[in-house]
Amino acid sequence: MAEQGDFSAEAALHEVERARSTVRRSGRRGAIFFLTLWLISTVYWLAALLGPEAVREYNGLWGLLIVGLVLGARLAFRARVHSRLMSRIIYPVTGAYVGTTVLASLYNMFLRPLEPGPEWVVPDVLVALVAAAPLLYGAVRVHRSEGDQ
Amino acid sequence: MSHPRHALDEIIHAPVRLSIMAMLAAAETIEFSYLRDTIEVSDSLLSKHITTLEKAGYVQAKKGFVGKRPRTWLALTDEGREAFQRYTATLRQITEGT
Repeated sequence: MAEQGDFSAEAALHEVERARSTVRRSGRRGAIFFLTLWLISTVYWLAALLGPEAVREYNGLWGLLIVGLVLGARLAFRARVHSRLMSRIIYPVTGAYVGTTVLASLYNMFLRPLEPGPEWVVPDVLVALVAAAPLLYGAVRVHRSEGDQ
Repeated sequence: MSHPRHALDEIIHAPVRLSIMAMLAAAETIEFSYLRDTIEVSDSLLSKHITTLEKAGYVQAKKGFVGKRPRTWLALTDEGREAFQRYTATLRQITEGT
């Protein structure tokens, strides 16, 4: 890139748009981060609540969630560009996700019977979806903001 | 001096500094090496322009580590964001001929 030199207003505006587009492409990482965690979280809760007994009692299931969270955090931590929206929503979304995960755990421990009948399938699916909902919200917000810019 | 070109901020209206400001305006923070690679300039040239923008109060640099590797993060200050908005508004005035 030329260090010096006069350039027109059109060229300057073109450069502004080019820079925005470059940063926007890098910001897609944020949407992928939330979406990946949403998928892992939903699979975890569906397996923990509706899976066969062998799966439900398998302690490695927690490992799936933790590995997903650690990988996601590493991805976010190593990002070289932090978008404005991502910086604004990451803590509220994380806080909300911790809250819904605690609620889902309380439901699993205290409300749900040990031998649930078929009438518990709908509440189980709802809990699995609600537990991961903040992550989906984060992914949609980041994805939409990319389209708006 | 009524032509809008006179209102163009000379600190921003230079090719490399415009690219730096435009990228930082679109993000919250950007790592130094990402900026260098994207704008395609050397470390020393980027440092020189960052220093100019820091002295103008438009950019702030924050040093940190990712693992054991030192990293420098750059962000626009509030003043820098306002200056960039004024600058792009002036550019639009010029191109639209108003």
